[in-house]
Amino acid sequence: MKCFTFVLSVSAAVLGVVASAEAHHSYAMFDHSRTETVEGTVAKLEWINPHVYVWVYVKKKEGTGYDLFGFENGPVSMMARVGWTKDSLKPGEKVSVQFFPLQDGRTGGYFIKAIRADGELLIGDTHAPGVAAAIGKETLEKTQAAGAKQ
Amino acid sequence: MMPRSLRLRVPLAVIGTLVMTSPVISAGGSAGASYRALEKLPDFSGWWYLQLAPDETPARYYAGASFRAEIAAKLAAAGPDPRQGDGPALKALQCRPPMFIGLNGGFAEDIEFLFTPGRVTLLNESGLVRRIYTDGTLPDEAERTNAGISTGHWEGRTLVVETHALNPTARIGPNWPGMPTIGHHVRVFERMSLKDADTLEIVMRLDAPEALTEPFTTTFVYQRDHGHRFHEQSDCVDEDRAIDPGSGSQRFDLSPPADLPPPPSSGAS
Repeated sequence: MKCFTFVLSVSAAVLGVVASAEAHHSYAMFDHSRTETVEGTVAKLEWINPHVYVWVYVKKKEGTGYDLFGFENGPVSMMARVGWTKDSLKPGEKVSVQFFPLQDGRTGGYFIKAIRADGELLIGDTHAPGVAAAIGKETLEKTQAAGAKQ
Repeated sequence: MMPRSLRLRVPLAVIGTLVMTSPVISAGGSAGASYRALEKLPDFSGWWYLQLAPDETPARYYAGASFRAEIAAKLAAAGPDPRQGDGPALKALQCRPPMFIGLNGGFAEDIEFLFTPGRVTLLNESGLVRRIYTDGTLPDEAERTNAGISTGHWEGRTLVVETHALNPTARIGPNWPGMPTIGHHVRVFERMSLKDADTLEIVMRLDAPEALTEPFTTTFVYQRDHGHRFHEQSDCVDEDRAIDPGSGSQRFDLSPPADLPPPPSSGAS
């Protein structure tokens, strides 16, 4: 029994360590216990490694003006695999973004998915913690059928 | 100066001599030994990515590896989300070249194979370059490199590869300070074959006596990435928004890009 416990704990540790191998930093800065959604206007798609960033102007809830939201995404190659290109989001287009918010309350987080004004769906890096579950199995299967490689 | 006609004839003569004297080429049948022979090999062309379900990572391919007690303790202490990376050493580690310890990539980067006479070259978009000599060439045995020394041969439609002389400082798991290293006397054995037109399997056995209690075997499954175009993958970038270049600590830099357009005009959403 003692031996079994040891093997189990070692396996868990190894799995955990290798699991984090894809990320070049921790995900601890994001709150994975909840998601938020904002609607706004795309400011820029930063098509860069090691993370693609999406920048969106969101109208302030109170008063006038805009908040700039920044969303971290997967690396370029992985985003290309799920159908993204450097032109997937163009400045000025309207978009709704679901994300895991930053723990510190600033305007940003980890990208889960975006929906364009015409209803087209853009999914994020499904291998990042929590993203696939937040998108949902049925939606993922639809995106796979449409050509996304996961 | 050599006359133009002679300049042409000399190389042709040299090539002719090589063709006549090379046992591989004159035999005409050794797998991959000539450009003509390459046509008979399985079609490994294009790009390949590691088969994983959503939410999965390459961790699933390592289930069951039994690490030595001291390594296991170190990994367990690191936990699933190791933070020892905080500090300037983190960025330095992420700027090291890729090191092969059994996985060719295929997660955050695609892999590709290049066939040339007597050699298969396996690359990935993170910069790994493995030269697999299939013509009996043995590079300098004494030299340890990040990709190791690989020799291979074809057994029917299967490419069989053995690799040693790997960099002993390659890390198990992520490139975080404090992560254990793979150690010396590491050997990797691979059998690469197509399961169907778009599925490639690499059966990999890792012998790492300083890290593992026994050899570990796993089968990596790759899918052909139709339509993929090359994208360079690197964690070693300037102005990394996730890691402070000075302190090395992790962060989320929300500084707007310099070329950001102004916000929408008043009244727009």
